[in-house]
Amino acid sequence: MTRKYDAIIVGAGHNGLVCAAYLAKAGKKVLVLERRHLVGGAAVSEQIFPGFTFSSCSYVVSLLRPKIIRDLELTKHGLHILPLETTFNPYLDGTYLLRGVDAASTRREISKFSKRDAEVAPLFSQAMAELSRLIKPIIDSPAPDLGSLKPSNLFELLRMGRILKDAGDDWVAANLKMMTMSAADFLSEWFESEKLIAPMAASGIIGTFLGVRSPGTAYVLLHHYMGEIDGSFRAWGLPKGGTGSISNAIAASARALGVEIRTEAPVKHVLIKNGEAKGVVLENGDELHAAAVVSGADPHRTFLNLVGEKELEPDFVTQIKRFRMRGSSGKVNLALDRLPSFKCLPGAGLHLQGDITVAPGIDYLERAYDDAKYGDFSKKPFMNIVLPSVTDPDVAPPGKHVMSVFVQYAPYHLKEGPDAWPSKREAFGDAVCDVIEELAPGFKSSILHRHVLTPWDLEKTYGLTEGNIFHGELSVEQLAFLRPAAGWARYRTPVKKLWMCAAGTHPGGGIMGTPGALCASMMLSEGAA
Amino acid sequence: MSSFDALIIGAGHNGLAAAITLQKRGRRVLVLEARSVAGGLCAAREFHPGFTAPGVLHDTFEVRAPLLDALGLAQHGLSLRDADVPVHAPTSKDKGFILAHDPERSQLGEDQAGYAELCRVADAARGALSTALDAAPPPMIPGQVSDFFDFAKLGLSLRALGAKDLYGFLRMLPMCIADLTRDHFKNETVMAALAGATLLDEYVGPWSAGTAARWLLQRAVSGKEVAGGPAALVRALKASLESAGGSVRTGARVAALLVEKGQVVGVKLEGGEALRAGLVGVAIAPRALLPLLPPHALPLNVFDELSRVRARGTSAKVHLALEAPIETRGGRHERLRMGDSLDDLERAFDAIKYRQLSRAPALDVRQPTVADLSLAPRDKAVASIWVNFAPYDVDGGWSDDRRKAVLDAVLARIERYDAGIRQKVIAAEVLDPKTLEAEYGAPNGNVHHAEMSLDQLLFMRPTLRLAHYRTPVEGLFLCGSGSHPGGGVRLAPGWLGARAALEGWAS
Amino acid sequence: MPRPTPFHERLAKLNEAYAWKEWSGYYAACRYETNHIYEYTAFRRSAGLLDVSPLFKYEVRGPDAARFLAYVTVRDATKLKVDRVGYCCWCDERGKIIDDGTLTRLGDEHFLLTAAEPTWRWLSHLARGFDVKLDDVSDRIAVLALQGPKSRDVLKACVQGIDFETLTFFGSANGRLGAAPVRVSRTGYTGDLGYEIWCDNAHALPVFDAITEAGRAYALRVCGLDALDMTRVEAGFILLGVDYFSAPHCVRDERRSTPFEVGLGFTVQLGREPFMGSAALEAEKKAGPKWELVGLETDWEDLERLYDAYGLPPSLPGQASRVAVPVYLEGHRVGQATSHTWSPMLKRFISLATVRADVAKPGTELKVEHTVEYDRRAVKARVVQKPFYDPEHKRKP
Repeated sequence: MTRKYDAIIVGAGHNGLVCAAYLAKAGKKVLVLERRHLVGGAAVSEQIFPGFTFSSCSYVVSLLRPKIIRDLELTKHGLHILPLETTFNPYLDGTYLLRGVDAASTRREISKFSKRDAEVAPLFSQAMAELSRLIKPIIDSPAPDLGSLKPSNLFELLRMGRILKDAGDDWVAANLKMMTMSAADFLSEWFESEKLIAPMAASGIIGTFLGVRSPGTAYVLLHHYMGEIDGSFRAWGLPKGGTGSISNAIAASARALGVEIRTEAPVKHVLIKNGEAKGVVLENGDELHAAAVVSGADPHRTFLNLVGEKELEPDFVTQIKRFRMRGSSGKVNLALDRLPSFKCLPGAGLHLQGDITVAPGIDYLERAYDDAKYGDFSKKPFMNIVLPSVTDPDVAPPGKHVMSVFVQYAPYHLKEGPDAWPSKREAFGDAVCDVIEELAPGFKSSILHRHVLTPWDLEKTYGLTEGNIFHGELSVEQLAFLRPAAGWARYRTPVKKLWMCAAGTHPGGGIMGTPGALCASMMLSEGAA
Repeated sequence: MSSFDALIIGAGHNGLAAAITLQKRGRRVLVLEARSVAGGLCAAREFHPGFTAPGVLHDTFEVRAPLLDALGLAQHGLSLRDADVPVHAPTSKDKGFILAHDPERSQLGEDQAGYAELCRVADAARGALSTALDAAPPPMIPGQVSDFFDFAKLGLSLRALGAKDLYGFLRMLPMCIADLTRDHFKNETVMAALAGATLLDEYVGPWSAGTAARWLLQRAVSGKEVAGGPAALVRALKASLESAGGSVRTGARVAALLVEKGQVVGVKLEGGEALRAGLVGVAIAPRALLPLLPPHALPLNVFDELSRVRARGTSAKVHLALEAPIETRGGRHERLRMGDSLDDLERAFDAIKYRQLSRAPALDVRQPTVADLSLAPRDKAVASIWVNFAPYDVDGGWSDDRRKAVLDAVLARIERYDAGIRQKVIAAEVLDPKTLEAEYGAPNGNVHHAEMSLDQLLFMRPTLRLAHYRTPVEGLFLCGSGSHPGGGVRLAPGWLGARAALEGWAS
Repeated sequence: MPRPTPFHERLAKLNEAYAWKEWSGYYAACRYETNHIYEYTAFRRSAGLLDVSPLFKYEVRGPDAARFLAYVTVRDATKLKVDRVGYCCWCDERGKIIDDGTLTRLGDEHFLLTAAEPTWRWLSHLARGFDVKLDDVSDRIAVLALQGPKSRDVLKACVQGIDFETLTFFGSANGRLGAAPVRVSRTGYTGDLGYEIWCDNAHALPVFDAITEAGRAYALRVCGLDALDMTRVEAGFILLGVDYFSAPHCVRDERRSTPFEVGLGFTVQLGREPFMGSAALEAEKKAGPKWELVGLETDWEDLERLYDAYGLPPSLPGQASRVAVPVYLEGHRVGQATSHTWSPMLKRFISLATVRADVAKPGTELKVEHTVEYDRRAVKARVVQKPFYDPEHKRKP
């Protein structure tokens, strides 16, 4: 049956779902097609082992836009974000750092290593929050189109210029520094203690193929503070039920608005006639027609698979091929019999209810990166760990626990080639567990089940090309008006009626929903659907 | 009577350029040099009897012809060479490659077209970039109408590139040179040769963001080199200064700056002698200013920013006295860059992050005797080699053993392409970063006085508040490599610094 | 989580109201009984004992100690005599106030500085070029404040080695309390006769016991911060974070203040060697501050009339309040009142307010916001001289 939709969205990742919901809100008839049996893309909760709910891929939410939460009434549809207030850093020498319990105790904790740093830390957070605040309009708006002289675009550019002028030299200088410096260097301008600098610097490399000493990583630090830009509207934390509950809430909201969502309906390619998208063709041969098609897949998958090089100008194809994916991270999800007990701070406590980061030193982090540069996973990796079951008992059977470990580095491009990953999967998982065991003796014996996701698995199972969690590196030359290609950064594509709405567009990855929302808004304003 | 209008601290190429600029505008200038000879890192160095390296710095392609005229150097024996000197990238298996500024004069095999395309985009922006580098840094946020005009000119000249090239160019700026070269080339040695240009005394490897911009900026200002190298340049500078009435005093190390009521009134030398002047130019490293000033002479934010200027020495200099020049399968060349692949360079960089020496360093080699026979006895040769990388803070510290290790690694590298190198060596000298600091005042051995990273360029060099040369202490100004447009043999920092000083502190 | 001070063991037993708050990472009692009025009365009529250990304390030693502190603070520390205390504040380069505290000269080359916020980094950073040694003794020294008309009598009964008749206002001396060496300064935050007793943590409990024992005869009470707040407003003393804000922690520049704008102009000693912020402060002094910190006295009759309109008697909180409310003149906001209390001593409702300098003259009639039955109204208030309460016995030897 060839019923015509106003829009067909390929991929029910959270951005695709957000896009669908906003289009439906404006009265459009929308169909979302998802290859897998569940919605969410990389924001999914799965019972890989019965009784244990894993946030398989993404595991925390930090920048889900308040406006989207309100517009789509997500709390009504089951969204509940649990607090994630503390950061615990265990070190290999038996010391630790626990920040975030309250201001005075954070100061005392940092004072263990440097009294000076302890007093600077709140000033640093304040400066970062200020920087993030002024960047907020950039992440909440479409990227400027440098080549265009349209009044609306010039206005946007002027507005940004005004922001620059009002903010003053210091702010512009600070931004320049952040965009060009390495996280380690930038933090060394403020702090002196490596025990503080290392875990902070580590947040600058998340999802990138860069090291803490690589220029350009300071900017990523800001993401950590972006949560503050929404003031008291706290959108960051641990979603109850895992990140899948976010996608499910968006899907429920979309359905309530009339969106049709079909799972286990993989799309083979976009149906294109005379350079215009007419609909899609499913794997089973069915053709579905729509006035507009939106891709929720990454730029490589979108243009090289779903569209095909034949339909595109060679220049554009080159740009897309040059758009770097280069996944660098893996995930280890564990079902545990009991909570880990860290040698440096044994037993249960406040430190287990927040974020646990293993980043014991700058050299450690840099060596982890060096391993990856030459095509190997880090023998001693960087890790970001949460134990959601401490605050959300429904994700595990009573008394048992779930541990979510985000790991870097795991380069998609192993020196033996990406297809060597399946044979290295367990060794990678072992490298992770060995480090945790060193910090928390007895940990390994508490493991009931282990689920390891390498970049290869992220690609095969979750549709992330080269396992890049952000649909493409968030390096400066792939951001804003260059994302995913120069001149095509405002959700349209060279194929008429084909749009992009996911992390491969501005403002990029993470569970934000902004690409989806802005794509919908752009489509509606251009009468595209 | 010894009263001067201006004192310049440091008789390196920038200090001399600043002095000439002031002297030609009627100021009585004395340049104070701690070493026993003038010229700093450009001075000729007879490192072994009969063998002279024409400067520790060995490239002069960034010196700008208009400046040479402004400083009156042609009248003092300075001449430019006819064309740029191409770089030879040897391999162990074949003739290797030739990388010249002009793609047509290069020999890059299958990468010939890729290089031509890359240069086309890079050169389209050349006009705008070189204007930026020749002038004092613009204010970051345009304030007056004239500022807007300058800013707009820059913007318009970039827009003239056309959308496609503009985006292509903008995309290049933040990239790492490894990605840029991998986008355009296929051969790893070619890529390494191009990337090798960006590594000197920078805490970067080819995978570090910002290295593409470094290459673009370098290319934008590249011109003809000085005949006789840096040593000839400083000889001419000194002659020009003296003929204009200025003077240089060697063996005079400044111990303190004399400041009264927020104004500089002179300097005190080691040994106690005081010299008075209302203008003092600092051609030494900006960070070296701090111990010379009274503790709270600078506003706190200026002090803090200056303390944070990054200047990490990452390179060592090796001079070889040779029986015969280095010769590879590609022949005898004046300039060579040695590094087999991008990963090869990156591994060399990795070592210094852990305070180790690179086991297989990347080399930037110059054989000045190929063009100038006076530097060595008949038929013999001098090789001037920058070694990337050798960290200032090497584990265990610098010692004769460490220096020998550097030399061994250098010879092992050259040996890959010139099997007989070891037999050719008559004598060798290794200048490690600590020695460069002790002998030449290079902070932590960094010969650029401050890293040339993107956040320490233009209106941020050396810091936001000192980028326009004049310091908050009236009469005290910067005029060395630590200021815009940066290190290497340029002369512009000296000239622009002196002009800024002449404009005065009224605003 | 907060930590106990060295006195906590004693104070916890006495705190029957279980009313604690957190002060610089320590447990601090708000009040010991559910009604703090007895504690206030002790401060004003007998003797009140308060744990002020959470203050930050820094020792500065060395040949340049006085010169260094003269550079850091707005006071000329070189003129402070040994065994004297000076109240001071310190500013950033733009003359904006960072914090305030007391500076005690313990010897020619030995000082002790207190602060409300951690100040180690600032002091260390400014110590460049000065031959000084800094020591953060915040967690090593315990401090009690004993305030009230009988405070001298209590100390005379238990402290040896100090002649309290000659320990003048803002003087400091060494003595002994039983086996414990103590320093006693005639300083305090209540604007009354009062002293602060300093000792090592190890001696905290014996010192506490000795003072409370001696205090029995004089109706001494252990007091909390609620009572202190009332007395400090009566004394006209500002509080960091309430009446003014520390410059580095402000996001908006409007929030930053110079000492002249918060009534601390009297601490600023200009016309000497340049110090941190001196250039900006000279300029401000010449131009005159744009704001001033004043005392406001609410017009009781106007307040009564306001409540009467709602059929209610005037109702005021029994506690001092730190809720800032706008201050108006002819319908325009001219400032904000940031600390308020009903003063039992003066039988007046008083506030500390920051207002535009041109309306700061004593006697000026302004209006302060006052909420009655959910309506935001305004009552007349008059600018008066601070302090509101200034008993003679505070200063008398």
